[in-house]
Amino acid sequence: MVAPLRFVLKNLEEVIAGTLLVLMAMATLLNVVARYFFNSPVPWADEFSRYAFIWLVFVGAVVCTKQGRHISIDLVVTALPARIRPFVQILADVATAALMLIIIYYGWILTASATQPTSTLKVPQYIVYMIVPLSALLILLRTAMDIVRATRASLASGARR
Amino acid sequence: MILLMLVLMLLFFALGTPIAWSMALAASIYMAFGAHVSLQAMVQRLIGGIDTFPLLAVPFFILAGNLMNTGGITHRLVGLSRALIGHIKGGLAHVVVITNVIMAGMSGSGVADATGTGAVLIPAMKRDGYGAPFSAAIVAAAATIGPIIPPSILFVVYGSLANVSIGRLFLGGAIPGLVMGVCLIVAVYFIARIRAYPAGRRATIREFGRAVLDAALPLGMPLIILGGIVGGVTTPTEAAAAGAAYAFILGFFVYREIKLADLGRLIVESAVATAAIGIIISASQPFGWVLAFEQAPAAVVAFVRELHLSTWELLLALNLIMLVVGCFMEGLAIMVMVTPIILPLLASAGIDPLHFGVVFTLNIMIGNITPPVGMIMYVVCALGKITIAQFTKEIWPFLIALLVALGVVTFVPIVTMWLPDTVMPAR
Repeated sequence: MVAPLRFVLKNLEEVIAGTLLVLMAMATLLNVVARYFFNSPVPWADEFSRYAFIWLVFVGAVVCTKQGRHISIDLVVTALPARIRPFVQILADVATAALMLIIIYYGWILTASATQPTSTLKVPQYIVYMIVPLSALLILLRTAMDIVRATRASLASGARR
Repeated sequence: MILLMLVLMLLFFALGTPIAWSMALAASIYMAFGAHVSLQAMVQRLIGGIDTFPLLAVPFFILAGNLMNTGGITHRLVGLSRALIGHIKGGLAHVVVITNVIMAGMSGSGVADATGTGAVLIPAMKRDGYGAPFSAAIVAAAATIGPIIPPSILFVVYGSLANVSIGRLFLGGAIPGLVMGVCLIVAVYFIARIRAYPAGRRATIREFGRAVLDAALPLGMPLIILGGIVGGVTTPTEAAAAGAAYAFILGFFVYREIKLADLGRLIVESAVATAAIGIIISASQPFGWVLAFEQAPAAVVAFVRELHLSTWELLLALNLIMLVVGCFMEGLAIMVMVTPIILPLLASAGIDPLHFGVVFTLNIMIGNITPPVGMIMYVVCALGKITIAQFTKEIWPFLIALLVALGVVTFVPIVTMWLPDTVMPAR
């Protein structure tokens, strides 16, 4: 009982992203079946899938950071001498961190002010928006950890010389 | 100021900052210091950019592709192609092309097709003495057909960015995709004759029947997806979900090749791949806002008008630029950045945005197999355990073949337009 729980907690973002994908697919299919075979479309299905997709992309972006799977251009970095690569890595991470701070701050303001209900699900808009500053926070934490790690590594390699 | 933004963005790219963050950060800096608007608008655009129903087809097509590769559909298609064409000279290389043409009718991603067909066919070709670099090269070249023949993730993205009917785009890609297949078959034919590649054994009637029967259920997939969209029964998004469900039923219940333990991993993998694409589309929206604020599209139109190019010269120039940029940059990033700038230009030059969408996507796919940067190239090099240098030596005849196809599609618009105009005329 403990082992699966630990797995879920350790891979929480992955589990959420995968679950959202399945729910989106089921809602979309349910709508097709209900409309085509029973002639009564499910009114909330499209809106639910749209909002689940927003969540999926932002939660998934955290996983991309975690697994280093963001699409980026490594052409220049790999051409650099190994000695200065850690510094470039730190600069790249600082750029990411700066954007995340912007998204957390302004995303929070946006979320806090979005109290009007959505059109068919009638849930407050902030339920949808809150994932944006939240995932930015998680990405910021991981990026900060990366910066610390890269700084340590470059200090260590500097000490060896 | 706009130049400063572009320079900053390229600088972030060069540092290795993810493409999405580079675009959004450069746009934020412009919005705060150049346009003096609250960055709340930036965050709003991040969300708004992915809050569209058509884009939901992307995760479903990715999921369907992964389900097909794990669920035993891919190797049944290989079996069918082998029975069809395996017995002529260079048999397995032809099998690669035919399999990818069929796969293209079910999957929307070139990377998924390269992964699926490469995993089965590169080892088989090596066993038959084709050599790993050639095998990897033909798989990569053939996988570029995937997003041209419907369904197509890139068409979904372009259609939602350019406001072009995704159903019509899907139909528009069908004949150009077949043209690509023919060009590759011709290239393989000549290489196989020069190098005296082996031919497989001709399938007996019984074996042929067996292969057709085996592939019969997977071949229902294009019917579900295209039939749903063209028949007006489903939206492209719903058709994609139905395709994923069908691939799941085949792989899990009928063939039982997807194990419950794999299923979770496969779903998460699809979700993460979706996010990697989705976050770039999201981050391209603040960037697009800045371009619109600076009236960059109008400036581009004015600039090009000064050059007094004919439509053909313009198309040729656009192709050359996209091919060069495509060597160095990820295709999706090019698409999200270029589409908003180029649409007004198309309108003023009298180029149909549907026709251009197919040309654009074909360019992006060629960029996927040209060194030094290309996702499909990376996939096949990993599968064939070869270096990019080895790959480069073998890819050029196929590049020429695909450039011929690109030329035909670019300069003979009816190749693209005939099918959508006949089956699904624009309203």
